[in-house]
Amino acid sequence: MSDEHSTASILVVDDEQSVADGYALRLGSQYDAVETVYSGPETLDVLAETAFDVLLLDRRMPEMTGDEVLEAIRERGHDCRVIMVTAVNPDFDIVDMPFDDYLQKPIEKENLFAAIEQQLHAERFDSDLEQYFAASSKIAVLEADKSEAKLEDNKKYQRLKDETARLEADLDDQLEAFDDAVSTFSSIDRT
Amino acid sequence: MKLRTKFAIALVTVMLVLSGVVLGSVELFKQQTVADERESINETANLTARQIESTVETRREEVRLFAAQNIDDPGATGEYLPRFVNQTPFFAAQTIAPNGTIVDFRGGLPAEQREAAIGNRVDNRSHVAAALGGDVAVSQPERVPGTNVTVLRIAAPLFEESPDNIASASNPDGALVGAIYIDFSNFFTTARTVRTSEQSVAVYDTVDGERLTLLRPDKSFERNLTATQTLGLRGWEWTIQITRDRSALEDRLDNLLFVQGSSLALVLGSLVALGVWEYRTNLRQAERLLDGFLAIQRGEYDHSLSLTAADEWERISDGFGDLAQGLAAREAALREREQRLDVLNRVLRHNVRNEMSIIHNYADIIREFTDDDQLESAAGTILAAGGELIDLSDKARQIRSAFDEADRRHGFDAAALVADAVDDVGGEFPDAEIHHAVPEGVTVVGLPALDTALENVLENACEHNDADEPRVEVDVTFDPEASPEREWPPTLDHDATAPDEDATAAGKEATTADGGDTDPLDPGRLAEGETTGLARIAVADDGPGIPAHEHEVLTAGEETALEHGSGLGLWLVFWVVGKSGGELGFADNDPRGSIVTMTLPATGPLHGV
Repeated sequence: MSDEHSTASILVVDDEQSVADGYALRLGSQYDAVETVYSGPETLDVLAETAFDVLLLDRRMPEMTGDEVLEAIRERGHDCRVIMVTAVNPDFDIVDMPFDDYLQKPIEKENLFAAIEQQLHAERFDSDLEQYFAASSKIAVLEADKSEAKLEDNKKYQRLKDETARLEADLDDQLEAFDDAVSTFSSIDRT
Repeated sequence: MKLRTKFAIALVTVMLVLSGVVLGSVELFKQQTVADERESINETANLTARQIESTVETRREEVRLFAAQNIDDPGATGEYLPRFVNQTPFFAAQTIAPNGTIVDFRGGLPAEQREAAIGNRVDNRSHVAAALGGDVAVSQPERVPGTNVTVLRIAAPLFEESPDNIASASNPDGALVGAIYIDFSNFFTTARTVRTSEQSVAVYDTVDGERLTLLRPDKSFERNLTATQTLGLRGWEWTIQITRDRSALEDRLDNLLFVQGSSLALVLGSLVALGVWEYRTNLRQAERLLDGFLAIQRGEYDHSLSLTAADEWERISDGFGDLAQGLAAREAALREREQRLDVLNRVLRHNVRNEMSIIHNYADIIREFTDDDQLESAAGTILAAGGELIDLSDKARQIRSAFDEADRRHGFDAAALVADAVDDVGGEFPDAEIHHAVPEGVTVVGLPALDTALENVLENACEHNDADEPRVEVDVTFDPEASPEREWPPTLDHDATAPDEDATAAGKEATTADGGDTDPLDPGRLAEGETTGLARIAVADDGPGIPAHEHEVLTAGEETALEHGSGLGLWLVFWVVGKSGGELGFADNDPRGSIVTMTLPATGPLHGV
């Protein structure tokens, strides 16, 4: 595991303390600044004080859901990468959610680290790549969960596919390192 | 054909037949009546003709008798002719000498005219000639110039002595010619009885091609019925014409028609009323009942059906209400159950995943941070068991979503279907050797989750395979002779899809099929050279074989605490194949292992593969 981003700061958000602490314990071995919070509002408070590179965000939380937290983060313009970490089965509504990646619990150690590294990498690239990764993660998650027939029928999914293909073509021209980035990214098991 | 249509046709037929019979008999009666009338008027004409003939005969007889009175001298008729004119209706008389000259002329004409005529030869006239020949003859009627009066002349032979032999009878001593006006009193008194307010008589003769009216018709009718009878009097003919007012007859017939028509209208009206009554009591009730069934099929159990037309219908209505209520209760129970199942399923899965992520995380941390081998191995076991649990949870999820779209069949290209499944499962089990032989051009038809089902069969074959080099073979054949179940879906799923987290607006909004609204087995979708049939996907492995109880529970339909399958995978396969209209089969492989066959509706080449 590369430790080139060991200085990165990571915030773990989960209403279940043991879940959040578990991930924090895990990540603590790799990254210097790992913190945990256990509710949505608390997250926003913390983010108002401190900037984090990556946020692991649970979807299902009382008081304020992860989806709402995500919206609020984007509205307030916090510059941090958000990885949704959830036991909720994804539906087509994730297509419109402004997250950067989506992982389903439980997460293998390797996948967790790979996803975080990927986001830290992407941070240095332009926004096209960010968009591409976000869209690709949605596609990967949906494809793992939905039948082919359902996917074929869904307009949102098809729109997402088209957009990804367009981004891919653009990026392929621009970036030499694109293929490597993509292969690392797509090797992550998100479910 | 609908009951209503049948009934309407029957009713209209009865009405048409009835109308036809009534109108036909009226027409027949009308014709008969007219024919009778015609016969009657002909009879009258005939009778009248006979009567007139007899009158003419009487006049002839008068002349003959008078002529038969012997006179001494045909030239000395001073007494004789005036007597004739006085005693008979004849207004004038002449005696003719055997040589054909007029000898004497008496009667109602000016003297100078009469005297001028004496000495004229008149034997060129047929009646005179006939009389001089010994016959009594009647002349043609003759119009008095400048008048409407017509005159008839009758000539008879005169004898000085009674003819004592035939020879002298044909050789008379002269002729007596009487002239008589053809008028009502002289000839047609008998016709008086015939003349009524509804009937008139006319008599005509045709002289030199010109019609001469002997008796003028006393009245005329707007619509009439006419009969003529000719009266032959030795060489000439009178035409008797009887004219009868037809309007009375027609009024009678019109009356009859009106009465019959009204009766018919009354009967038809009754029939229509009967039809309406029948419609209200039975047909409409039956239609309402059918509507009720349709409503029930749509799941509208609160559909109120009120049939009140007859006791029987009320009982049916009550029965229907009970049935609907029962169904509603069952439906509600089913929904509740489904909701429970759904909540259980969702919460269980979510919580399993969530809690598993804790177990997983901490076991992983233990494994990573411990130096104790035993502890590390224990942590590994925890992780593996957790993995199994997650797989199980995923399987439950798969089953749930497999039947989200159980009301739609999808056509899968067999080659692609198998290749994709082999790729996916091969990635999971890199040690397994999976061979597949799939012909081109076969489309397998099934639920959208058919791919998941096939993957499960393959996973099963690989996962439980204890061989050193697990070997799995997938073989697809297509039998065009076999006919797939045409009726699909087998049950009417009005709302089989239970509320599910997938059924959000986003998911629903976009379920427009790619022309997939028609069943892939629809004959209209077949390409040339294609037909429907059954495809058999056989998955053979060389593992330990599937224990009998694993697949026996599938067909038994329920599991017991002691006898149950070890996982959900086979259930998924069984349900998907069954719902797709196919069949799942199990057999032993030789020398070891098992063969799982999915027989599914399909389309493929006519000759089969």
